[in-house]
Amino acid sequence: MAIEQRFCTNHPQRAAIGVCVITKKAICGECSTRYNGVNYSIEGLQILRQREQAQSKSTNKWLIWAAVACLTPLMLFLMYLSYACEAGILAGWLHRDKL
Amino acid sequence: MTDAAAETFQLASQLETGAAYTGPLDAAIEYLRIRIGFILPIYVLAMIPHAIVIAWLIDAITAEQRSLMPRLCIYLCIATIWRWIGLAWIQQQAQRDLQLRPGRPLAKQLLPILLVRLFSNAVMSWGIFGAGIPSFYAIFSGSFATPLMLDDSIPERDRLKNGLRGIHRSARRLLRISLPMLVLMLWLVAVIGVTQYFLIGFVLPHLFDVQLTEVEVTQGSSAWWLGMIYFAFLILDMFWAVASVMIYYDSQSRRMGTDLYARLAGLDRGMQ
Repeated sequence: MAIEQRFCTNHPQRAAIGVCVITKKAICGECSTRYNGVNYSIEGLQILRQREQAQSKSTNKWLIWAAVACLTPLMLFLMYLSYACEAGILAGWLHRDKL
Repeated sequence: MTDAAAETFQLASQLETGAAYTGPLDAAIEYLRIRIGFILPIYVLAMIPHAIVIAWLIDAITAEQRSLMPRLCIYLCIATIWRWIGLAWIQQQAQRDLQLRPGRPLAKQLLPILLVRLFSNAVMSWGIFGAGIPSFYAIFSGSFATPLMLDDSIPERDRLKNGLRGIHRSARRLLRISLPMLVLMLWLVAVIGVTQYFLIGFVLPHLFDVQLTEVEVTQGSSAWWLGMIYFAFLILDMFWAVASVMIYYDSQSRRMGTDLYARLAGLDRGMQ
C-alpha cells in the first residue's frame, strides 16, 4: 500500500515535510520551525511559548512564596529585636545618671 | 448614594483637582470628620492590645525592670500585627469610599498585606543604617500596603513592583508630605502638654478647687511624658492610616494621568 502524500495545511500546493507535534497539522518547509530537534508550526510555537511562560510564572510564584516563607521568621525576629533595642536604649537613656 | 458616600465622592474630586502637596492631608482630615463614627471604634479595637502592652512597657522602662522587657516585646509584636489588621480594615473602607467600588476582598489579601507590612517594618527599623533611604521607601510601602493590595486596577503580579516604582517617582512629593506630619507630631505633643499643664496647674485647682498635688508629681515623671508621646502617636496614627490612602490615591491618579487638574491645565494650554 502506497503512503499517502500529505500537503501543507497553509499551502495546499506544497508537499508537507512533517507534522507539528502540538497542533498535529501537516506543514511544509516554510511553515516548519525546528526547536530542540522537533518540528513546530507557527501556532504550535505560540502554544509552546504560552505553556513555557505559564510554567515559568508558576515556578516564579512558588519561588517567591518559598523565599517569603523563609524570610518571614527573620523579619519577625528583626521586628522583635528592634522593639527590644528601642526599649533597652530608652531605659538606658532615662536611667543614665545611675550608671 | 448615601450622604456620606456623596460627600466622599466630592472629596475624591477635590483631591484630584488639588495641586498642593498637602491636598491629600486636607482630604484625610475631611474624610475623618465625615466617617469618624465608623473609623474610631475600629481604631480603638485595633489599638487596645497595643496600648495595654505599651503601658506595661513604659512601666518596665521607667521602673528599669529589664527582665520583663523581652517578654513584653514579644507581646508588642503580636499586638502590632493585630493593629495592622485593624488599620487594614480602616484603609479598605477609606479606599472603597474614594473609589466607589468594592475593590479586592480584604480577607483574601490580608496575608499579603501583613507580609508587606512586616517586611516594611523590618526595613524601616534597620534601614536607618543605609543612610535612611531604605527607611523612607519602607515607611510608604508599609502605609500603602492595603490600598496597593486591594487596588484592582493594577495587575496582581506587578502590584508591589508598581507600588515601589510609584514611591520612587513621587519621592519628592512624599518627602514634602512627611514634613508637615513631623511638624504635626511636635505640635500635638506641645498642645497636649500645654493643655494638661493648664488643666492640672490652673483650671482644676483654681476654678474647681480640686487639689492635685500627687498628679503634679506624676506629671513631671518620664512615664507621664512617654504616655503623652504615645497618646500623640495614637492620634497621628489614626490620621496617617486614612491620609496614606489619600496620598496613594492622589499619586496614583497623577501617575496614571487621571488627574483632573493636569488635564484642565493641558486643555487651557491648548486653547491659548
